[in-house]
Amino acid sequence: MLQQESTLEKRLERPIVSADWRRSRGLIRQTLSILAFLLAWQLVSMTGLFGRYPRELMGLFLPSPLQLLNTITEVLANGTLLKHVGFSCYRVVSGFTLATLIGIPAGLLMSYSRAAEQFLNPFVRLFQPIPGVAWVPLAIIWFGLGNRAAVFIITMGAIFPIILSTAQGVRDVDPNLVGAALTLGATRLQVFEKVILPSITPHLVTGFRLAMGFAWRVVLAAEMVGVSSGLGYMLTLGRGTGRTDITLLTMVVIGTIMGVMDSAVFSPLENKTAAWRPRLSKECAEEDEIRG
Amino acid sequence: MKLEVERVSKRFRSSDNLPLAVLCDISFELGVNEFVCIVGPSGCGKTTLLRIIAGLEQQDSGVVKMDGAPVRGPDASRGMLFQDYALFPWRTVRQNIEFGLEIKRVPPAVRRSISRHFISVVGLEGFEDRYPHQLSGGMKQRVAIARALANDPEVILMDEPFASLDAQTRVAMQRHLLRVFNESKKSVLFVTHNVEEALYLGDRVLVFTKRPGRIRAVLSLPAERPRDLLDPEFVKLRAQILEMLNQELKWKDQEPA
Repeated sequence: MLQQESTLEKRLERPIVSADWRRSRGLIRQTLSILAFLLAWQLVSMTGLFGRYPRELMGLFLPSPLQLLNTITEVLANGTLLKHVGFSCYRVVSGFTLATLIGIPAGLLMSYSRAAEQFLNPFVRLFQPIPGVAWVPLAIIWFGLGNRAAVFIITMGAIFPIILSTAQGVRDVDPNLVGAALTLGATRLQVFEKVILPSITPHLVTGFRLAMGFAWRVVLAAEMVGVSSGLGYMLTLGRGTGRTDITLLTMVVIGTIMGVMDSAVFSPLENKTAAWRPRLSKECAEEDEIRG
Repeated sequence: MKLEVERVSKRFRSSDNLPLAVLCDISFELGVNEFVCIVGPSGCGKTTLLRIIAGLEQQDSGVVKMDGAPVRGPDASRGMLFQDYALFPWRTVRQNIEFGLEIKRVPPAVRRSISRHFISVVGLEGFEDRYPHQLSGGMKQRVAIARALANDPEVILMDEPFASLDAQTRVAMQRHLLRVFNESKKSVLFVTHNVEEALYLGDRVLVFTKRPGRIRAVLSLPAERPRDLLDPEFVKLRAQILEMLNQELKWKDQEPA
């Protein structure tokens, strides 16, 4: 009790900091943290974990960040990086699109028709727990080594979060909102367009986000074992040829692509719905900022 | 007659799959520009009756007629106000009020001027671009009223619309509703469990029995408004209704458990 009071007092005594400074202070801390990490990495690599390993071997064990800078210019110049990024993105986007085109109607069907739900539910329950990666061997047997196998696996990995979030979204629609729309003269189709769709959008964004994460994980696995192109292939290529720098670089690239995708596509989508969702509204965001 | 309810009955299936009668042989009429209040013990099927009249629920027997034609489903002639307001959370105050007009494909400029009018009727100027979660309960209810009025229904069905408001807001909303009612010439069917509210607002009051709901009594109230509920006549009516409701509750207590 006493302890709590004293921390509360401390909190109240804390000088008031301007929002601008708070924001730039956060940015400075984050930059410093990354710089410290890169510095440590560089040191470990240069000194062979402080003399524990012969330095000549560090090119294989842990290439330094500076080395990676050379590598990136190399793979950019000869076009390998962009080629493999292109392959992976193409597969992810096709598989994801296919999963959406099948998953959303399936989810809607399941939530609108009791019979459809009962027919589809066993399959969803049976296949949903199987990780997308587990489909790799079968996909290679069915489709051979190539794009089709990859797209199939990604679709299998991404479709379930989309089906489930769509169905859950429709189940969560407030029946009174449907009633309100109907008594305001809406037809069933208009109810779908103006009540159901906006209601399920937040669920869909969550489902898409999950599905996209699965899609990337699965495409890397597929490319590592079966398909001889794409970022997963680049990862193993680096290992196979002793070019650990290429493997590390590919990891960085994968992280960057996924991060960019999230902040360029999903975060804006989520923010759009946050405006009307009390739990995620601006006030909350500001509160978080103050606490952080 | 605007709205006729003829011998409407409704049963639900209870959790142990036994039929549970909620409404029994309900008949009454609602005239043009008439304000009828329904009071009754909780669980007497008031809400179900409103939903049947709105077309959101199907009765087991009986008919609901609107201008002589049987009601087959929900439509814009009977607007409904829900207990929990049922505002679209992703729409601003203005967009909520314009919903019905959008449905009817009214051109945006006309929509705008209609919504502006009703925003001022319910006194929400300055809040047009707020989302529902940024409003208080009373304000949400006013948005719901404006949304129903903007759609120009002939009958407005209100399901305990002021139940969750504090006493002061409630009185303000009642005055507000009466003013709107006098200006708009609508017919209103108003469900409440608050006897004073019914006496203050209604032209007639229907008193329901406990479940299964039947009409126990119909009381016609003097026409003049605003009403002074301390007037001896109202005090007497109030006592009369409360006595009836009390009897309903007593019978309920005597029921074998």
